[in-house]
Amino acid sequence: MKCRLTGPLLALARHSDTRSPYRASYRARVVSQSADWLRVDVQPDDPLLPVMANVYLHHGVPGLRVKLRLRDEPPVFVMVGWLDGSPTKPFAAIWAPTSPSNVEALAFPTQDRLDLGQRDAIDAVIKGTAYREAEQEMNGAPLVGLAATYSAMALLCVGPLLPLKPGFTALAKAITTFEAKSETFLSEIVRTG
Amino acid sequence: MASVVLRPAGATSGLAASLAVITMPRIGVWHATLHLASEVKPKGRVEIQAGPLALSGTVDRVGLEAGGVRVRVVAGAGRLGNAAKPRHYTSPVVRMPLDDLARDAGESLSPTCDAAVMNRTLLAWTTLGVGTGAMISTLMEVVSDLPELAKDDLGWRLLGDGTLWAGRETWPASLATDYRIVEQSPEDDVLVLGVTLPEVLPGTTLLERHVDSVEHTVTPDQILTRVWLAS
Repeated sequence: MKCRLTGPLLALARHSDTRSPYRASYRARVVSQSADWLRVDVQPDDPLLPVMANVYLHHGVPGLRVKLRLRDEPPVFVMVGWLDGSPTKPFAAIWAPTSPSNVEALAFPTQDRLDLGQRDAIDAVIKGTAYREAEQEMNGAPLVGLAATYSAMALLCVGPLLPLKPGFTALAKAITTFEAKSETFLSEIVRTG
Repeated sequence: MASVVLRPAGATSGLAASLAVITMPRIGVWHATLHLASEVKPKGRVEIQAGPLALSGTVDRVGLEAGGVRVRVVAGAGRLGNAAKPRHYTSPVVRMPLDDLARDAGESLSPTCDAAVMNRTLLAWTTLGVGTGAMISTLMEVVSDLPELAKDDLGWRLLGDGTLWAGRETWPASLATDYRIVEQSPEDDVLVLGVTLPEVLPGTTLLERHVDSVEHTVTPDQILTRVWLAS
C-alpha cells in the first residue's frame, strides 16, 4: 500500500536511519546447530530476512551451552537480532516456549556445579567419579581377599564337598568381574526427575 | 556552450534538450530531468551527452507536456530503489555483499572501486529485503565505522558510465576552470556557478573545498552549476 504523498516521506524517514530494521528482532526457526552447540542456522519467518547460518546463540546465562534435538515437530523457535544494530553482529536469543524434548543436554564447561529439577530437594548430586574411586579403593583389599578365599574354598572341595566347588568358583569370579567392570559404570549423560 | 543530447544506448544521434537538470550526489544515484521537443517517449537504456559529461542511465518516467516530453533518467539500470534479495554472509569481504547487491539489481561494480575497502573483511553481513540503495548505504556506513577506516571519507555513487563505485574519497582537483560565482550562501556552504561546461563533479575539490553534491541546469543560453560543499 503506497501513497504518493506520504510514501516519499516514509522513504526519507527510512533512509535517514538505514539501520532501523537491524534494531528489531525477528522470530526464526532453528534448522541446525553446530557441533560445539554455540551456533545455529535459522530460517526467519519474515521473508525480508534470509536464511542465516552460523549465528551465535546468546542464552543469557554465562557459560551455558544447550544441545538441541532438532526435528520437524515440534519445531524450535528463537529470536534473531543484531548487536548494536550492526548487520555484522547477528545473534540468536530468547527461546520461544517449546517442548522440553527439544533440549537434549545442557553443559556448563567452566562450572563444577549443576542443580536441575530442584525445588526443596535435599539430595545432592554426588561427585560420581571421585566417589567411585574412593569406594573402589576401600573395597579393593577386602574383595580381593574374599575372592581369594572363595577360590581357596573351591580348591578344598573334594570328595563329598565336590558339589560345592562350582558355587565357590562362581562367587570368586563374580566378585572379581563386578569390581573390574563397575568403574566403567559412570554415566556422562544425566537424567533428572 | 554545451547542449544536452539524449539518445538511445549505442545510438549516434538523439534529441536535444531545451532544459536539462542533472543532479549528482556524492552518495547515491544521479538522475536527470530533460525537456525534449519531441512527441516520442524515450524508454529503456539511454545516454546523455552534456559537453564532456557522458551519462549512461535508464528512463524512469516520461510524460507529455506542451510541445514535447519531460523525461526523468536515473543512473545505470535505475533499479537501486528495488528491494534487495535477502542474503546472509559469514566473514565476507565487503566486495561480496556489494557485488551481490549490485548484480541482483541489474547494476555492476566499477573497476575503479577502492580495493582497500572492497577487500576488508566483516564478521558477518545480513542483507535484508529492503531498498537496494538503502542496503548499500548501510553497508558503507558500517564499513566507515571500522577503526582502520574511521579517519577516511567513504562514499558510494553511480558514476557517469552507470557503474557503482564505492571507496575512500580522494578529492581530486575539479577539472572545471572556466567558471564564475553567480551566487553563494556561505551559511549553507552552497555555491552557484556560471560555467561554460558542466564539469564539476561530486567527490572533487573546488576552491580548496570538497564538493559533495552537484546540480547542473543546462539551457540553450546558460549553464548553472549549484555546488553543495562538504562540511
